[in-house]
Amino acid sequence: MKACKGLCTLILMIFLSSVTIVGGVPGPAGGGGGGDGSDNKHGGSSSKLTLKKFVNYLEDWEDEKEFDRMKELLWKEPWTKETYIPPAVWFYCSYPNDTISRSDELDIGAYIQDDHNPIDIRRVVHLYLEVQDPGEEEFRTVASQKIQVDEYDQKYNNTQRLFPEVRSFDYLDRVGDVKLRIRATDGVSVWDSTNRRDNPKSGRYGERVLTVYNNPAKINSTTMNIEPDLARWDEYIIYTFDLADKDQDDVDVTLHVYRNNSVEKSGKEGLENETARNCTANGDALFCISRTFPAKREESTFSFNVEGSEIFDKEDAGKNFSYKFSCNDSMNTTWSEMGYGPQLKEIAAITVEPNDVIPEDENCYWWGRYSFSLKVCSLNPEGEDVTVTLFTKTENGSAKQCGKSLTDHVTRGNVTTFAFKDLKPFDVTDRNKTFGYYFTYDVPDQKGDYKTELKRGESAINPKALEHPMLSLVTISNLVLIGLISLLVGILMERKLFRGGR
Amino acid sequence: MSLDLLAMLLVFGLLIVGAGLHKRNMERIYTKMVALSSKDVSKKDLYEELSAPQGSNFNAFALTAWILLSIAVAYFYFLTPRISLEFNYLQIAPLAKSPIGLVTFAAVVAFVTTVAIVSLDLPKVYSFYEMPKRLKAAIMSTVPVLGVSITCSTYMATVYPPEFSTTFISALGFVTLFGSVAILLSPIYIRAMGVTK
Repeated sequence: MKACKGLCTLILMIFLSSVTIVGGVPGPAGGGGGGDGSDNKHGGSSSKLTLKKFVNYLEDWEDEKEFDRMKELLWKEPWTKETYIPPAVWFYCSYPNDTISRSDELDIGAYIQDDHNPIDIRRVVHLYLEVQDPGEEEFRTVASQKIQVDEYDQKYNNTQRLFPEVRSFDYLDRVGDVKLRIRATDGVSVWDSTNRRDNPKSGRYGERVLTVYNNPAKINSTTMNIEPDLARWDEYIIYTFDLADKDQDDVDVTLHVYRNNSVEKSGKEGLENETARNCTANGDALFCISRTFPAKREESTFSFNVEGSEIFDKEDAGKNFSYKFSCNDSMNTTWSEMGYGPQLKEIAAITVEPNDVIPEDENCYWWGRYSFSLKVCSLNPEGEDVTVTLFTKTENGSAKQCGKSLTDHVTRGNVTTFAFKDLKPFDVTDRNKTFGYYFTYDVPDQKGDYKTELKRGESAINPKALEHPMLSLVTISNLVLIGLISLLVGILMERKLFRGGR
Repeated sequence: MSLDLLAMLLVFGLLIVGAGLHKRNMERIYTKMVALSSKDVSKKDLYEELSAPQGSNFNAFALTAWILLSIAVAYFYFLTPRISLEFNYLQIAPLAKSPIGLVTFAAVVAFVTTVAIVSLDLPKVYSFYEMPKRLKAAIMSTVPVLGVSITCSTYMATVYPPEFSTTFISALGFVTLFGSVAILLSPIYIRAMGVTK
């Protein structure tokens, strides 16, 4: 009975709308605009379709073959349910493992299956991604999506939605187990995915627990460098290092500076345990300073510019230091290996100024004599005893001491000249080469150094090879001696060994 | 190939070929002797019989000439970086620096040559060959000729690196050196070419 009622209502609606559109119903009455007038017994020439006429039509068509076909075409399944059942929702995640780092990316979404509600009674469903962070007891909503009634697959009555807002757990400031689930509401009722059965193969879960771990930031100790390695106590010093953090966190890097006990720069002996001056992070460091660096997944170079930090003071002059870095990404702290440096120069005791070299002969022969000198002045009122040594160095050669060291007492305000006169610093193999010289001394100069920079001679050493010309007593004597020796040896051999060949 | 290397090969080639020809000359004499004689003759005995003393003066000059020849060769090729930049007199700083460096260098070469002459019994070589007076005079005259070669090489060293052309001096040094070698080995070459019986 219900079915029949439904059919009639539908036919009536379709018929009426056809009339409205075309101005008449084509049919046996022939009253419509499209009629051919062959059968006009129900309506004559009138084009207006009345209910009575329509009933007549139907009664008239009942015996015709096409009537059943028409019924079949116009049949629409009546609503079989009147009770709405909320669709099933799952948490969706394609990530296969149970552990995940904070920086690992994954797709998170919701999966909905609505097998019970036809489109007519489906409702718009709001989906909320809920997360229970490590150590928390409550779930919190981190993202939402909305599913319209027509957004389901027509065949399978399901749909899936991703939450692009959540691609990783890099927002976490604590690591541990994270629970994820989907909460849904259709405006009337609220439910969640918790009790749904997991289907890991298809990535659908009622509730997913992922153990999130942190990738700590790391400093590559082999890239640690300090510039300059030998510096004045008040000099601008830069510490550089390569830092990487897979989680790309902002990393707090702390520089820890220690004073070495060992005099040797490379000495790895114990570090002096003194009271920290400005350090709170590490008690045995002489100094600590922190900066925040935006770490990247791959190693990138950062530098610690300590200008204005006043790490060292005057009393540190002449001492050696070591350093270490610690880096904290707000979860883990890692330490670099110990780096060595800087070596601080002594405080200047003298000022020095090397004079130009004076060759005996302007041709600068290798056998020539050369004079070198160094002007020294004390910076201390009481003066200094200074020992100066001269070194010369030719192109591609090693430095060699030239002459003896000179010692003198230098006073403040008076320039003392250490003169190395008439020296023969070169030999025949140095000819045609450029040369340089420097002085070393036993007290620090104005740069904190113990030697002057290499000073170049104005010209290269003359390429001429032998000192004595052909027409000289030395050369001629040599030749005469060669002849005499040969003759003497020849005669002696004959007399002593061969005796005329007998 | 540089001219200097070619010149060196010529001198040493002449010496080596000379040594080879001497050995061949001796073998030919022995073979002839064995063919003519019915008795077995040992080489040692034959060579002992064949050797004829050439005189003390000649021997003394010949030995002096051979010593001077080795000094001349050393001076010509190794006083300046003619053949090698690494192995030459100018790389031996103590010698080049010393006022008696040249004679010291020559003395070392002379000592080595003396050892070689004694071990090879060089005067005996000349005793196997017929030595006319003119040939003896020519061999003895190589002493001053080699002096010229040594002087040329020394001059080349004193002006090294030369600021002017030294081709003539260099050529003179080589010609006198090469000529001396040729004269000193001439008895061997003359016998080998069959000029004398």
